[in-house]
Amino acid sequence: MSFASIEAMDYESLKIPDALLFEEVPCYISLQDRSHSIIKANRRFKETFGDRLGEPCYKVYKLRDEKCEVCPMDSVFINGQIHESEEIVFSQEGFPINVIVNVAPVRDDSGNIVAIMEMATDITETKRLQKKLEESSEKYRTLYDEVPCYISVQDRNFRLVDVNKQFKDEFGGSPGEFCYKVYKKRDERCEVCPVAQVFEDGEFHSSEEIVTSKDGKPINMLVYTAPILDYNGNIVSVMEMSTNITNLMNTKTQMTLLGQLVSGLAHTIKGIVTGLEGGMYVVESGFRNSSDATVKKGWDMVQRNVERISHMVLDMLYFAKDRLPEKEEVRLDKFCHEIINLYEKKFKDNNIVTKLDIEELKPYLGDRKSLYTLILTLVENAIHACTWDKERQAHGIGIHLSEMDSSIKLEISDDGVGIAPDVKNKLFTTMYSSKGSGGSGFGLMIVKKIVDEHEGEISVESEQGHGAKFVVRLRR
Amino acid sequence: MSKKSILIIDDEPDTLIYFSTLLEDNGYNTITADNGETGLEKINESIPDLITLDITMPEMSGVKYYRTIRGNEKWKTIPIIIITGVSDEFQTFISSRKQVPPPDGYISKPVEVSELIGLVKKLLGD
Repeated sequence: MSFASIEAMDYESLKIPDALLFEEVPCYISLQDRSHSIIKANRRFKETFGDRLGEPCYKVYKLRDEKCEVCPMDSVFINGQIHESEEIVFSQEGFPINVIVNVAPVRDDSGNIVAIMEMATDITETKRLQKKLEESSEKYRTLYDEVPCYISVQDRNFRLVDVNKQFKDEFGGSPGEFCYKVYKKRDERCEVCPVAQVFEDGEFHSSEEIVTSKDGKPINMLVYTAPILDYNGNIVSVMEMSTNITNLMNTKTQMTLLGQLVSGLAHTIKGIVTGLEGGMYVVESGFRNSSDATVKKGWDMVQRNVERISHMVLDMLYFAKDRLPEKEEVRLDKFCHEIINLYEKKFKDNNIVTKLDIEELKPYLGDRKSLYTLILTLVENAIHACTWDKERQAHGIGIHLSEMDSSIKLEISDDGVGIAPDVKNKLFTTMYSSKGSGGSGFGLMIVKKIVDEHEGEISVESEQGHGAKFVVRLRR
Repeated sequence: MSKKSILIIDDEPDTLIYFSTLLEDNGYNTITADNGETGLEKINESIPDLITLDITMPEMSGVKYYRTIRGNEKWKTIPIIIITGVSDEFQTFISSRKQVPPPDGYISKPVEVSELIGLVKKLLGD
């Protein structure tokens, strides 16, 4: 067939030989009779399955000895309708081929179905790509869900389009909900919104945010937001990826406190060194001036400061050590009485009146040494607070011990100098002592440690110039 | 010639003993105060020739005391040596001393005896 030009071609009258179509169309065509024998096949069929006219179709390309259980040909012979199905057939080399099979009746002039035409299109490559796509999607989904950060995708209305598993587990939230409601627990958009920023400028953004889990727990997050573009490069949504940095923030705070602690330590040590150097100087001065009183004064200074540094080292070691409380049955009420007796002379010498309200309690399971230290330290602190206070000549210290509903309450109060607000906030986390008191500065930090070891609570009420009240609660 | 007097303000009792013994050994009279409020009382009773001042003290900090002295017509010319063990406090002091002249000397604890005596003699013209 030839044509003078493309324009001259008469497409309507174009006759394409049936044989050409039958042989060259890119699919497998075969004709089967009622006994399933192949009576005709096209070139492609023969190339793939062999020239096996007269053999049953199920033998030729299903490699079966008997008819398929669900045979599309049988359906066509019964109802005369075209059928489509997806099958796996086998080449003459035994390789599997995925095919879409269309089966249609071939009728004689009387309309009787005399044969079946089976046309199979090879979709092996399509199936392979489909499988690869499914595996890829599965991999992506697994990565998306299991990556250790929270991922959400928001549209321009700040509604969630998609969230990963981590996000859903932590915040709840479903597609369609407003992001600010789900994890900021707000009724309206955030004033400074990293998602909005991306929609505005199309750039990546990062920020630190505090969000709220579905259990109401605040979480510090490092948030990255990035645009998601369509094929035309338009921003259709924004991906928000967040990492929990709460522990990091806590570590930062701990490091800051550690820095402050070290700074406090240095200051205290400087004071002790000054005391030691001073003591030595005064002793020498006493010898130079032949003054026994001065020598004694200097020697007392040396002794005091040696004792201070010794206490400080022991307290530091106690504080630094991780130890489990050695629990035994202890009588907290007896401890209180013993400590009061211990300080009886000091109370008298400093004009301190004690007010006692100590219930007789059943034994409490706790670390004997630690709990004794706890009460001793709080009483000592109360005494110092009173002796520092020059406004009054007489002071009072109250010690209250009681129990209700398996909760033991120990209250130690004084009407001494009180605690400044800025000091009160960091009382249990930084060194705090009156200089020259002999205290190491670790006292209250150790008290807090003991309370924590016993899973208790401690709080302080105080106003500068109006005394202080420490309340310790311990549960049985 | 009557001895010059030095007011020593520090909340560490041992520091007060140390500095007073040291300065008395070097020919000065000393008055001690263990906090800023007491320091004000002492200065009201008798104006010293020089003040040594700690920074970190309860009730009235050294910074507040310093500003009070420098803000008072009668006392503003008294030489003041800051003696402290906390450099942060001193940085705070420096940054807070708007419209207040700087101290006449600054010594870090633990003190070098010769440094302290040298500075005292220089400020008192001895």
